Amino acid sequence: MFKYYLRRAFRDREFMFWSLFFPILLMTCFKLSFMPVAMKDIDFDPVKCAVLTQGEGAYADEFQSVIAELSDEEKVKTGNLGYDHAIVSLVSCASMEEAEKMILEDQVEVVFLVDATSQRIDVQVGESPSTTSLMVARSISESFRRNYTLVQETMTVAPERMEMVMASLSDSLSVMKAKGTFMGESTNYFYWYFYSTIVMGMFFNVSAGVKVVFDIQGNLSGYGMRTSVSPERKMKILMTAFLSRYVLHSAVTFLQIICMNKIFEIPLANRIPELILFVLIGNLFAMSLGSMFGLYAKGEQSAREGQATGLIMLSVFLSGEMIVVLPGFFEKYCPIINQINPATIMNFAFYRLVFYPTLNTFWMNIIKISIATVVFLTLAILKLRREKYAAL
Amino acid sequence: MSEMIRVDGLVKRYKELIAVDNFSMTVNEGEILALLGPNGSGKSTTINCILALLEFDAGNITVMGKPMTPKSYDLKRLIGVVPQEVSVFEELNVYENIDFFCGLYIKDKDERKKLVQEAIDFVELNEFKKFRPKKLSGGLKRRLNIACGIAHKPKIIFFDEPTVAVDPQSRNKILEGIEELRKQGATIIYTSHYMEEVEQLADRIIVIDKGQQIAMGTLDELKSMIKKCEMIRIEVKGVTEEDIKKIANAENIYHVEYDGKMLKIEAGKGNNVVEVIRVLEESGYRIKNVYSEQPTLNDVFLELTGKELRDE
Repeated sequence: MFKYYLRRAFRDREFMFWSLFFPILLMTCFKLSFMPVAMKDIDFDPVKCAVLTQGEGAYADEFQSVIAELSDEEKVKTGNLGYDHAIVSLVSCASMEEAEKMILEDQVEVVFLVDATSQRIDVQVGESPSTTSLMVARSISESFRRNYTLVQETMTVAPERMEMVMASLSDSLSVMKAKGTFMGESTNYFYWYFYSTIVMGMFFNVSAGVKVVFDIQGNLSGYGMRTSVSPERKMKILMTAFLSRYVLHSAVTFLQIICMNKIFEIPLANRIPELILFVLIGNLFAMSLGSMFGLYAKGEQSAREGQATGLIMLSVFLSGEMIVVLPGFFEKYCPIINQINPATIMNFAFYRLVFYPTLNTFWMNIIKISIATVVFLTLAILKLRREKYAAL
Repeated sequence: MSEMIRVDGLVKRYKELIAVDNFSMTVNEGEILALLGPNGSGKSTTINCILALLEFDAGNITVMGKPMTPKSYDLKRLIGVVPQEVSVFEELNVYENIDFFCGLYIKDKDERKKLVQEAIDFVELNEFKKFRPKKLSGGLKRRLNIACGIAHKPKIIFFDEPTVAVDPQSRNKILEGIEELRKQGATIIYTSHYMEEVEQLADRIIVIDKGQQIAMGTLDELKSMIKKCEMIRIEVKGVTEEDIKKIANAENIYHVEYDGKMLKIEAGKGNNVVEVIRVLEESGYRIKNVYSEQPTLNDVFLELTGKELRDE
């Protein structure tokens, strides 16, 4: 029976696409889209740039110091960015008029206009800038903006970690933003997309939970009826159906994580037992949530799978899968969303697992998800144990 | 013949709706019992109650003398079910589907292998063994559906409308298969709203409507329960009102219609055709053709319930 349930799961094309290929496809897109932003594997001459500031404040000062350090060959070399030359070549410039003139004369490729008051950085370029110069300039300004926002978010969310953040930030700012900061540890948003994709892949398994329920519930499907009238114990069938999907889906998640690490070169912490636990809990949560939809939602199997997947997509979206700053935004304005959104909880758990020296918050997040899983599973089993139905 | 299934005073309500109303029946070993009724009459509900799938409000059900409950695993082992909808796994091929469902009953691999092959042979799906269900035609799917329900050689088999949406050729194959199963010793409970199938297959028939048992017996017994026994149609021209009245007033004649070409006469038991022809010939009419039809189950149903089986 296990063999056939496993075979069924394996031949489920929809599952294979959404749980295996789609996340890998997405990771490939992320790699292609964001790698230039991370400024890896690209060789270029230092970009000739000037910085003009408006107003005074830490924002402008820090940006200028970052540019100064990126123009320092020695600091770039020692900053573990992967380049053996300066990233920018800083040209002194006093006014916009002078900057425009320098651009026309090709003395400067890029001008950063930093508004300290509104904390905004505009990138000014000539009529036909080189793609590399433009990309590098935008990467620098964007990375600076992200990291600077993070400092402020940390002050709001976890002020006790501020000292660590500042120490880390000054270091990361000095080498710029392939490795930035996040909640106090050296990393960057680039990785967030990948971890979020792994969580999304796991959560797509809600549909497996719906399928398991339909496989054995006599009031939901014909084959459920068939199994219900057979002499096989219902709980045995349930466990077999559940376990077969669970084993396959967990294996798929491990495969994705290996791909992420080996092919896309995204770091993983050397915390294998915790990582295994993370994958097992994540998949179990998704399947238990799916079985709730299978039992309590309305409509045909596809409709229930659609509802479950829709909820998961929303959860994943709110966790920053597409807009990476969303969790930070919620931390600031509506922290409850991050606290109850399972995808955010799992993303943070993964993130902390990889980058944090201590795992207190990781365990806290895992416990939260485990509690929800236990509740869902208990409710599901209570209903699934029934062998007679009120209606068919 | 021993009694395989007994249902006494079964009542099943869905809130205000009474789906099965004080329904009783017995099924004897080796017979084909048909539950005949329109869609929604309570046939499937009755079967689901017997299979201990549905909670019911009152009544008593025993299978081979034992109460049937969800935990009657020893009884369930002897039962096979062919559900109304094709209930097979799309991801498994024909062989795997049959093997999976047979595996719920038979644990021994060698025995199961033999039984699965026998089931495949029985439904003649040998050349489709490796096919997934979506590649099978409707009729072949139905046969696969049957194979999944009978592979473990059950003593009692429930067929819940197994020929719905099936082409005539496949339907005949299915009906022949069911007859063959009975010959092999299986007891069969067959639900349908196709009266021709029921007439062809069933040893006994229970007519059911709105959850109530309307009548029960063999085909002949059921036909004998109604007044109308024969429909006589005579192609004849120019029959006068007076002669029509004469025919209508004859013994055993219940109803006469005439459209100028065809005389339609509903008659009871007796030598009706001869009598009607005698009246017409005496009046000098030239009879072109005479047709006589025996009553069908639809007539039985119509007379007992006041509506046609295929009204629904």
